Amino acid sequence: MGKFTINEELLAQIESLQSILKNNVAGMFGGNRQSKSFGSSCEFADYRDYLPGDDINKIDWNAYARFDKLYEKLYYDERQMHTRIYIDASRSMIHGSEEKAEAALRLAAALAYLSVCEMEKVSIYAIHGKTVDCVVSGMVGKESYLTEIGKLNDIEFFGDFCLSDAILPTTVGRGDGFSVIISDFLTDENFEGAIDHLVSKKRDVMCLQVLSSDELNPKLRGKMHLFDSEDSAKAYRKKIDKDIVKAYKEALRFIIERVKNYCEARGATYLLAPASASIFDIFFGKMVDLGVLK
Amino acid sequence: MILTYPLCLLALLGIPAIIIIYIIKSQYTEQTVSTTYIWTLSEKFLKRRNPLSGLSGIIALILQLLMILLISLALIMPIFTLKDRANEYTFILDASASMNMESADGKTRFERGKEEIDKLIEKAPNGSEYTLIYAGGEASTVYEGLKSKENARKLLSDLAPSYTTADITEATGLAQKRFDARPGTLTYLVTDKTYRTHQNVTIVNVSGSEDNFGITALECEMKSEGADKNALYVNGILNSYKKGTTLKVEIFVDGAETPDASATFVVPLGADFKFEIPPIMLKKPSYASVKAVISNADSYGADSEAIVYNLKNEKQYKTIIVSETPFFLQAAVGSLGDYDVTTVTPSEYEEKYAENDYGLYIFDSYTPANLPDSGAVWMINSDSSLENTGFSYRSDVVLNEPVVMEKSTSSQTAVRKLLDGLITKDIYLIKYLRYSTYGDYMTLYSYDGVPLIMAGENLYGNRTVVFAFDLHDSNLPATGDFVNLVGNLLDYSFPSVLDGSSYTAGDEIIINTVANSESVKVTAPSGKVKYLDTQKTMNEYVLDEIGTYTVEVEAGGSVREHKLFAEAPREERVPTVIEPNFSIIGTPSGDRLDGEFNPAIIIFIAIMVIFAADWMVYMYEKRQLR
Repeated sequence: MGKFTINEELLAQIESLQSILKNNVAGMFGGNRQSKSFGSSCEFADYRDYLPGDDINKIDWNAYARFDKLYEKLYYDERQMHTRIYIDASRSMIHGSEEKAEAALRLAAALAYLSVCEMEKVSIYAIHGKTVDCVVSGMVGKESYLTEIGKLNDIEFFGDFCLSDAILPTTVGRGDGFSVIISDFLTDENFEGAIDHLVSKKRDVMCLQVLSSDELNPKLRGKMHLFDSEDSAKAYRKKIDKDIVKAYKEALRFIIERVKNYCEARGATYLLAPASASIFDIFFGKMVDLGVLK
Repeated sequence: MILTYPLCLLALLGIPAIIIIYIIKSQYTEQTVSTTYIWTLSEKFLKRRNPLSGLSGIIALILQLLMILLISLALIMPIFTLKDRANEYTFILDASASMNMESADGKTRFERGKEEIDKLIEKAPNGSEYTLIYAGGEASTVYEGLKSKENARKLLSDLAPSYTTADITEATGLAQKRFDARPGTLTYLVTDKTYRTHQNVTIVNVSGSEDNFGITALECEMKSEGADKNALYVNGILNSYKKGTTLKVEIFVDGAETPDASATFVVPLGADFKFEIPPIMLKKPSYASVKAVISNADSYGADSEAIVYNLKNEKQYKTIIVSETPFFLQAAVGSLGDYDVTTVTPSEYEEKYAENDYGLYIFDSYTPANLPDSGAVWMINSDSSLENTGFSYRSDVVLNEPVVMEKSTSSQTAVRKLLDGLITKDIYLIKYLRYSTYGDYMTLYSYDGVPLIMAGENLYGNRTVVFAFDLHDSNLPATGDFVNLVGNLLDYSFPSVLDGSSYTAGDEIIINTVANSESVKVTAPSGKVKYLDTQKTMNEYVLDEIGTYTVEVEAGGSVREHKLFAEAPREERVPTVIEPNFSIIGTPSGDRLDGEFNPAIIIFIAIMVIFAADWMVYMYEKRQLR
């Protein structure tokens, strides 16, 4: 079982960040998220000709004095989004030093806090095999965050990970915010279907691929008989030498590129998050660089 | 194939041991990883795998098994037999004195000869057998049928030339025996002589165009009176083996550092040239040694000098005459030189002198209670038997009329020497004593088969002279022969250690053991020391070196030193000698010995190559696992 701790200093820094949604937001309730439709927020969006019946309070009198024509000021509308975070809770996430599970939980907690700070609703799910278990549902506000987020530590990591089979049958919302998938994506199971499904629901999809140090730079050498932590029937028997390690790294690069390319092709965001990397580096480094946060 | 050390086959047990180690070592380490997905997928990316890496484990195993196999072979030391590929060699190495001649490169002929044999051994096929005959003063077989090249060369390198004439005839006999046993033998004679004809032998001539000069037959005489008193006359013979050479001869008296005289002579090629040095005026009445040196440089220095030592009067031993009537003896001994003689009566001898040591005891008509166990003894007219004398008294014989004593006609050298100078035919005798002898005596005079004057050794090993008559019962003391006989007997009783001082290397000389000698030590020119047997009156000694020998005799608490010089044999001084023929008799056969092939070097190289390959495989694996 992965465990994580909340770093209050980091949370304070995360508060300064703001997520950028690519798709039109379609929340039902007013919130902090700027919608692509015009509304009643304080942020100026555009002008249009005044039509009879329009609110005369929104007429720009300065423009009338200059152009001798009435223009109505338009303002952005603001909606409340629903951030859905899916965590790969398969056994492979806790094998070894459990650093992947910890990293996944930390990322989920940080992203959840970011959403909470933006007055958004947050739900966190754990995926076991083909099942999606809701860990935190509709969490709103910091107070709720502080009471709910601890549930992440109750997530059990076991079984395998079938992303598409797990997500497709569930309600994922439509155009109302981020869908974040945190996984190692080290599976030959179909994950593309889930991404396609979420994209088709006009959700901003972000895939965070968490890999441990041992996976990025394997230290195994010599004659090895390796067993898969999720399925003991799967085994690999070989004398691991420099050539094999080289092939391993090429295979890993292939896996990473495959997920990344697929995400980019579907307009989703992909981010490789080494388990050893700090949340600060991921949020203030990679995510900012990618334009996910600002 | 011969397995030198078959027990080393046990080393092959290492092969199954290595295989077992590999089986144990080859077990896979089991481990659970988060996913095998990447590892399985990596197989698709494993392109152009080095074929060596796939087999590396097996290659290392194969290499190590090969290594054990080769090491076992190396330990077993197999030797393969090659039919009719080797020879039997007999080398005759001339070790005569002339082989000491040096050529311009500083090597002697003997050294060049050894090099020639060494080359022949080195080139000979393995499995060949080598026999080396050393032809020095005596021919001897150094080794026979030796198969080891290394040992053959080692023993060859230890040889040194002699300073004498080689006994080539005996060496030929030894080689002939070898040839008779195996007619396929290849015989080589390594010499500095040229043979006009030769059969069944390959002559390896190691002579060069050396120059040589020699000096021999050195003589010197010192005048003791007259106008040229104390003048030293030196002469000798020079030889030159270079046409029209002027030789300079320098004379050194008594070991002087600078020459006392010198002269130059134009010496003809090859012939003896008698030279005389102008008289050398010495300021002393005697000399100890005279050395003549040819100062011209040549290839053989050993014959370029000669030394003559002055034999000193060695008869300085104490003599006691025990007699009631010593007149004849006193007169004879006194006339013969400066002898230290004590004359006493029998009663005085018994009272005072019996316990003293003397070089010579002369008992005249008196038989002491005990025979002295040291020193020579003369027993004259002893009418009773005495233990250890080697003879016993039997009876008195009184003749009716004088009879003539019969002088021995024996050709024995010692007898002739004792009778030397005795010319009187008629020595009469009226009365004598009959003795029976059981010691080692030679008869000088006799009558009717009864010995009258004898010389020999008593049972103490001391020289003894026996007169079986009273001197007063014979006319012998009145003849001139008496003094000569006494003189000869004194020489016999007080023998000179050396008969001369000039010899030739290879000579066998006699070194006499004087009375009371405690030790006789001979030091050769090379420093080699030999102690002679003092129990023997005469010791044979071979002069096998050139130069000065020192004989040190310790007697009566003092040490006397005698010197002699052995010069190089004259025939060994000739740089170029042409001999008529050297042949091994018989018909050579083409029989050859089985050769041997020892693959040790190949195995060793193979081990090194495989070791290097194994190391490279190991390093490659290590690099692969980094």
